[in-house]
Order: sequence, then C-alpha cells, then structure tokens
Amino acid sequence: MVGTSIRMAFGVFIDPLSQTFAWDQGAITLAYAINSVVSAISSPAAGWIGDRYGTRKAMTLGGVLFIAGMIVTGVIDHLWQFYLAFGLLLGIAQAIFLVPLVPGVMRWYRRQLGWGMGIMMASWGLGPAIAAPLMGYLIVHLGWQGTFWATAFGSTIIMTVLICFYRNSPSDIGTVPYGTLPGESVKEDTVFDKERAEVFVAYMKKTAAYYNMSSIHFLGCVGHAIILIYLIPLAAQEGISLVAASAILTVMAAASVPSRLVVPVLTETLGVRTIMAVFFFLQGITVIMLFWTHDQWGFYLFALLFGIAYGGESVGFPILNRRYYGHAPQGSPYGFQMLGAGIGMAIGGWIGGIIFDLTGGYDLALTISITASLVGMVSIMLLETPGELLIPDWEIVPGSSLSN
Amino acid sequence: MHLRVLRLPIQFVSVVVISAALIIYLLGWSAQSRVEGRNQSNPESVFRSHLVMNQPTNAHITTEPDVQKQSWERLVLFICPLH
Repeated sequence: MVGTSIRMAFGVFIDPLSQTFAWDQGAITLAYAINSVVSAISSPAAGWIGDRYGTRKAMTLGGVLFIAGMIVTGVIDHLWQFYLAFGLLLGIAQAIFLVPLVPGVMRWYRRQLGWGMGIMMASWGLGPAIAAPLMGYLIVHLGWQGTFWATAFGSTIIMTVLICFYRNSPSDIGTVPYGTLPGESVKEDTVFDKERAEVFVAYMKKTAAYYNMSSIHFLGCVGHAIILIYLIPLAAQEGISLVAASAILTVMAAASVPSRLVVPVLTETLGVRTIMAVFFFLQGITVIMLFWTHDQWGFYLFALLFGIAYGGESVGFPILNRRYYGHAPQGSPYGFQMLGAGIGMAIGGWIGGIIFDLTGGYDLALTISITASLVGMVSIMLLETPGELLIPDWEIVPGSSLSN
Repeated sequence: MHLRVLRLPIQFVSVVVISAALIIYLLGWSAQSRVEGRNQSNPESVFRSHLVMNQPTNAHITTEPDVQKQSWERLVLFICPLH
C-alpha cells in the first residue's frame, strides 16, 4: 500500500516541483519513467532476494531504501538528484516491495489463494486512492519537501510495526498454510535453499509460459499506464479543472479495489485464463469511451468502469504461477513478469507525451492502449492450460543435483 | 506445442519485435519533426531553400539542413527506415 501510493500519486508533485525549480514537465516526468525502468530491471533480483533471504529481510531492505529515498528526495535542489533519489533509490525500493511480497503471501495459502492475493492486491489499489488526496493535502500545508519527510516518518512507523509481526512461513509460528486439510502433508517451500531455487529457475526458463506471462504483463501495463498518466491532461484538455481531474484518478483507484479483492477469488472458481482474458478485454474496450468523452460526468463514468477493469487485470498472475509451477520458489518467475510490467509502465507512461507533441492529441495513444490490452487478451487465451504443472518433477529430473 | 524463434516462444518474440518497431518509429518521427522544426526556424536554411527553387536543375546547391542534429536524433534517423 505504501509502495504503490508514492508512484501512483506522483502527478500531484509535478506542479509544486515545477513552480519551485522552474523545471519543465517532461524533465520531471522523466523521473517517473526512470523509477519504472529501474523497478523493472530490479524485479528479477528482488525476486531472487526474496527467495534467497526470505520476504521479511527483503521487506526490511526495501523499507530502508524507501525511507532513505523519501528523505533524500525532500532535500534535492538539482534535477539529477531528483532522478537519483526518486528514480533510482525509490525504483529499487518499489521492486523489493512488490516482488517478494507476492510469493511471501502465497506461502501462507495451501488453498483459497485467491483471497490472500485479493486482499494484497486490494491494498495496491487502496493505497493510491488514499495517497492522492492525502499528498495533495500535505503539499498545501507542509510543502512538497515536508510531504516527502512526513511520508518517510509515517512509513517508518507503519513498516516497522508490520515487519515485526510478519513471518516468512506458517511453520515459523508452528502452524500450517491456510486451507491445509487434516492429515495432509505440507511440502513447504524451503525458500532459504539457494540450490533448490537455482535448480528450479533453470527448468522454469525452459517453459514458454515464463516468457509469455512477462509479455502479457507488459501489454497490460502499456494499456493502463497510458490512461493513468494522461487521463488528467486529457481531462484538462476538455476544460476540466486540475482538482476535478485529480478526483477522477481517485475514483479510478477506488473503483479498482473491489475487483482487486474479488477477481482472484473468481479465478479459482471460473478459471484463471478466462477471468484474466475478460478483464484484459474490459480494460481495452472501456478506453473507447474516451474518444467521445468531453464532460466531467463522462470522465467519472469512465474512471468507474476502467477502474473496475484495471483492478482485475493483473491480479490473476500469482494464481497462474501457482497453477503452472506449484509450490516451487516463486520469486524469480514473478520477478521476470514484473520486469515486463515495469517496462510496460515506463513505455506507456512516456509514449503518450511523444504522441501529444507530434499530433497535438492523444487519439493515437488511446488506440495503442486499446490494442495492447486486446492483444494481451489474445495472448492469455493462447497460454497453456493451467490444469497441470508445467514441470511437475523438476526436483527429481535426471541430472538435477536435487535428484541425488 | 509452442513455436519458437531463437529458442524463445514466438508470442514473446512477436511482442518484443513489434513493440521495439513502434518505439523506433515514434522516436524517428519525433527526431524528424524536431530537425525539420529547427530547420524551418533557421534563416540560413530558409534562404537556401529559396535559392534552390530559383536555380536551374543542374545547379549544385545542397538543401541539407544546416541545423545540428543531436546524437539520439542521428541514431534513430539512421535506424528507422521510414524517416
């Protein structure tokens, strides 16, 4: 919740920074793109850190980097310092927050994984819904510097308390994963087993799903990044005030929370590929509304519908990973998928600006957003059936050191 | 069975190649637009353009833009075949 809030609420800092330093918007938003690219590149390593050292230690590292990045961002006075603090430091912190946490949650669920994923994903939508207006309030009363420091202070308290309570696996507190049946033996991930993780990764990289899910994540993120970044400028172009336009983004984030919560559960009952394809389709098709939306109520309606679609678009990936790879170390496959997602966010976040400079409008960008989501839908339908593990005997494959 | 190109799934390769092509095209378009914009605002280039229009066809007057291209503009204009 903390990690996604800062990135998604980035837009509220653009004007204050521009007014303070006279930087143009392109230079400021480049920090967002750097943050996305750094987060993407760091994702596989973040997944490895989680598999190797455990989610709790990874969260501690991520927390330290996040707080340092927020404090340093609050004392910048040059553009390169902003790129370093917000782009590099917070980008790495973002990856460490996002990637190891997913397999960390998965370890606690033997069955009904959808509920665990749903609650976690809902927090990723709730964070920005709260953060955007909160950041706006803090900027008015504390200035942008005070806002970064206040966020650092508040995040320190929140994360310290939460990390103290968090445990890597159920066995750490003498219990079993949720959904374990009486008498059922639980083969828990031995996540600190470096050799086991490395052997698994070697076999996983031979599966088509490992690569295709990353490209699907990329397409989905291009599809919604264009909307997330350029919806406010698009609304402003139609004469809607900046305050009202920011509220549109809040509506979208809030609308995404129920679908983030419910969709993982739906995937387990109605089929993960089916549900993911449906929400990729909805994410693409709702954007068509924007070609004819000119009034404030129209933008709010779009935000509601798109928010529901966008919220359910990516939450099925951990479920799919479990179906394909079972209870093996999940940090690395999810890390590679987040690499695709991060690159998609960076490209989607940047491409609209170039298109606007060239054409004076966003129609081409909206077309790319729709196309990316619909192509992602088709790619999902072409994935292997999730009914069987892709590498069921990876631990006893001949030649594997684990088979000895 | 999944088709593969360079041992990678064709789905993945297709997305990478098409995305890269789109980015290169947009960058090429942006670079060309920027160069033409600087060229039009350069008085010497405007003069040369008028000079070419009023000369016999066998006159050897270059219409190469006199404006300096940035490194990235040179690179993308070299890579992109459509610009």
